[in-house]
Amino acid sequence: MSVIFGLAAAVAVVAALGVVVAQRTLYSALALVANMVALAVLFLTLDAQFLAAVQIIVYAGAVMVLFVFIIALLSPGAQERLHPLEARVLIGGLAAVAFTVVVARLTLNGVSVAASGRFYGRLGPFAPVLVDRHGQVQTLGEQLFTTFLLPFELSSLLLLVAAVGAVYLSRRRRAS
Amino acid sequence: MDAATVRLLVAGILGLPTLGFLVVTLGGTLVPRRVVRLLGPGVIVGAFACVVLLTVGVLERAPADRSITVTLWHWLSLGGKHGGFGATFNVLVDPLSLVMMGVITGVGGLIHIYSVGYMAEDRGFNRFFAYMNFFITSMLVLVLSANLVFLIIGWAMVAFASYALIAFWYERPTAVAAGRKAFITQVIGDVGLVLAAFLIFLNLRGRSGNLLHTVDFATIFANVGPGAHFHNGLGPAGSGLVTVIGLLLFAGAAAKSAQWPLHTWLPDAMEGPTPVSALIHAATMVTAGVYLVCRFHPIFEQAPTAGAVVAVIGMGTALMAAIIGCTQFDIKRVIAYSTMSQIGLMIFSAGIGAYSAAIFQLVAHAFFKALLFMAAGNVIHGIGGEQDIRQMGGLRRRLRFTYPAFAVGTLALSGIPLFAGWFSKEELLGNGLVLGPATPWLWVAGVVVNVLTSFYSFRVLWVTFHGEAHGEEASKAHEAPRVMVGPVLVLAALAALFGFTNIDFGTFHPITIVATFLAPVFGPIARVPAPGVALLALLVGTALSMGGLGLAFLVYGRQAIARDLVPRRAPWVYQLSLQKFYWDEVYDAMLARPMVGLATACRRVIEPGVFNGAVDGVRSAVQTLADDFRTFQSGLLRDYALVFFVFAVIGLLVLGLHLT
Amino acid sequence: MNHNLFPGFIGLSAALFAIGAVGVLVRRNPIVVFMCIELMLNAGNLALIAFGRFTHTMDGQVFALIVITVAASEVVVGLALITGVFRSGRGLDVDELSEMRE
Repeated sequence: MSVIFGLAAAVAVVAALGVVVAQRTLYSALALVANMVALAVLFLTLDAQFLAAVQIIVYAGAVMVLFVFIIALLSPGAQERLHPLEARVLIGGLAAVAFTVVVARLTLNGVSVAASGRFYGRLGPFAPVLVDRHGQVQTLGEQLFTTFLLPFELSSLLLLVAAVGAVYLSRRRRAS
Repeated sequence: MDAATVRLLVAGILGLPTLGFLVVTLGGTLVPRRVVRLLGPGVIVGAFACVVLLTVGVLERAPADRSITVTLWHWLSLGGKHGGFGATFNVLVDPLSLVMMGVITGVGGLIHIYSVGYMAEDRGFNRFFAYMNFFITSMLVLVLSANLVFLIIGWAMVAFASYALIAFWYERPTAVAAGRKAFITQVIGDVGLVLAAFLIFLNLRGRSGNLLHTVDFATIFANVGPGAHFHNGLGPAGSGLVTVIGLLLFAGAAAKSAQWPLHTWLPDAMEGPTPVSALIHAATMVTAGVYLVCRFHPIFEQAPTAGAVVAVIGMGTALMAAIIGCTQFDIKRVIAYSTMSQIGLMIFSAGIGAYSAAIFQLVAHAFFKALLFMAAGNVIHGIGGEQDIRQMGGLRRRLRFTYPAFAVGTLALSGIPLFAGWFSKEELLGNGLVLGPATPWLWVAGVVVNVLTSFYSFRVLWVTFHGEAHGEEASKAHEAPRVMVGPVLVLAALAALFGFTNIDFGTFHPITIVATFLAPVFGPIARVPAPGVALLALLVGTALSMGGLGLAFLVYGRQAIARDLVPRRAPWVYQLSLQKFYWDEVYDAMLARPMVGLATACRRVIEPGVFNGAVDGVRSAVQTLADDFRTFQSGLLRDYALVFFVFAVIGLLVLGLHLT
Repeated sequence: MNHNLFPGFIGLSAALFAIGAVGVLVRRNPIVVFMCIELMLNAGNLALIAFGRFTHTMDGQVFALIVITVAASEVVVGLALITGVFRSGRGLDVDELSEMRE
């Protein structure tokens, strides 16, 4: 398990860096696809099979196709080169490292607290073993259509609004 | 008289002048003159009627029961560890405040009526009555207050009213300067009074030794002085604290009453309209210092040193002003110096502990001095604004009513027997034989003051009304209108007859009704001269006063003695008097010039170096900083987001450090 | 899977989020900026799912699903906007699109 996590994590980080530093937009998009796939693998290790599938289908599939389509449509020729010594890059990078370290450090603390039984004092009812017996996707679906029905329905409304908005924005205006 | 009626009358006394003031002030020139003409004097006369009713009501009570405190409203209520501090607007109705109110509203009412005629042609008619009513209100607050806070408020309001009225003709630079001078001098006195109030507030202890922190007169006086149990809330008699308080109180009194060394404003204040001189600088405001010393008599009784200082300064001022009065030529200034002199006598009397004599003189003086000022106003009005007595002369045939009135005023001021001034001044001086410091030399000084007073008073009378007319205006002089002559005649009658209140017609003993009335406030006088000594002093004093009259007659009437005798034989005496003892020059050299020099030096050195430097420094610092910070303001969303992100991380870092 | 991996997931999530943030901050091409935002959203998803997994709840997964929905909508609208901007003749540079100066 740790091996899979280590590999997927390494791929995810490298791919993410690739998204940021790639000179060509298309390379960024490809790196992002790699990142998505690595994340899908990580989702699988977290017993979230449904989300891993959604990640592949929606993100690595639909969304990325949309990205590539736009890149091809707009064909941004200008290449953007990042200078590692640029103040913006240095400051941002430093802040990013600091952020990661602080979060990781705090989480480690949280786990050490958990060992004494306080962090996990109240665990939810969905222990992985029980969920596996019932079926992962089935459990998620039940939750989605019972407890979280309202957010779910609202998200469908959001998709509708987004579709309408996109159509409105990309409609070709008559010469005005 | 029940409490509700007293309250109603007090509200009337304070409210009517306030009403007049507010209506005329808020209405401004929209209020027609004929309304102001009735309203201005009307409210004061109404207030006087309330005073009379209140006096009658108080007289119904037993003498010991004549001090009534009425709470009009609570003004300040502050909590505190000593049980809090509050200044309620308490009004103290007692014989002393009744006498003062009677003078203020009675004489004040007459002067208001007189002003209707005197100011008739003036552009600022409405403004004048607004100020005058405001002054009456302020003066009433001053004498009615039953605590230090409202005493100080009234004290300061009076100073402002005086300023506004002296500088009434604001287009005259001399009037404005005089008003400013008066106001600044008053403020010096205010500081003394406020400091005295602080010292009393901070140091007064009750019978159990606790600090009282009170501003209430009744509480203060109950805890100062011998009292029932020889309790002394401000330390033993003659202690440093009580002496300092007495001297500070006297600083306030000296500024208001134009006593040395705060006296120079009073002659200059004659720049104001003549009714103002009569009301403020003769009858009421300048006597506030006498009132203050008398009101705080328990403190002065505990501070013999302060009392002695008061007496000596009072007599010294009286003597100095009398000497100056002999050589001045401006008719109003002569009367102003005589006011200073007479008030000096009152202050002397209050300083030696003869309070009721001081108040008696105060009332008599209010009558005859207001009379003199108003009669002088008629003269000035009659000859077209001229004030120099050398330009007058022979007016007695033209001013048929004003002349006898002025003569009565002069006789009363000079202490000629059976006129008001004779009773008041001889009683006052008689006490000087046995009370106070340096007996009997202050009495001797007082007799000299009287001689000089009758000399200069008759000098003015003769030069103005007798002899030949000098100048064209004087020969065409005309009598003032009836509205101005009437009040003058009323005051003349009072000045002539008021002294007889001094005689008990049942026994023909010289006891004063005023003193009997005031006895519950002041208690018995410490000592009176033996009857034989008193009679001798009376005869000597009277004879010398009349001698002064005779001397003036010889010099100015018969011209048997050359007028330039003193200027020729003793020029320095004459110059000293003519130049008013050079006090203005002394103050100019001591205070004004160094101050101007200091200000000039500041302007030359500190202004460009420190202030301009500081301002320029701030400007350039701001500009530099702004230039630096402007680079942050790139207008690029990414830059703002970067700053946001960096600070979010810093916040998280701080949070993390805090949690671990 | 034991709890020892939990800090690993959260640390990875933080790292991805930070990389995405830096990308948003340093890149000028709006399309790449959008991709970096996607990266940050995905990092959030990872954290959500990890928390859900280790606290024995389904909430994390549900929210991750909703986040994916929001991200998809956002991409649709955002790309439409970019297209519009590009068509209006302005280049693909977020700094040139800035209207916050003067």
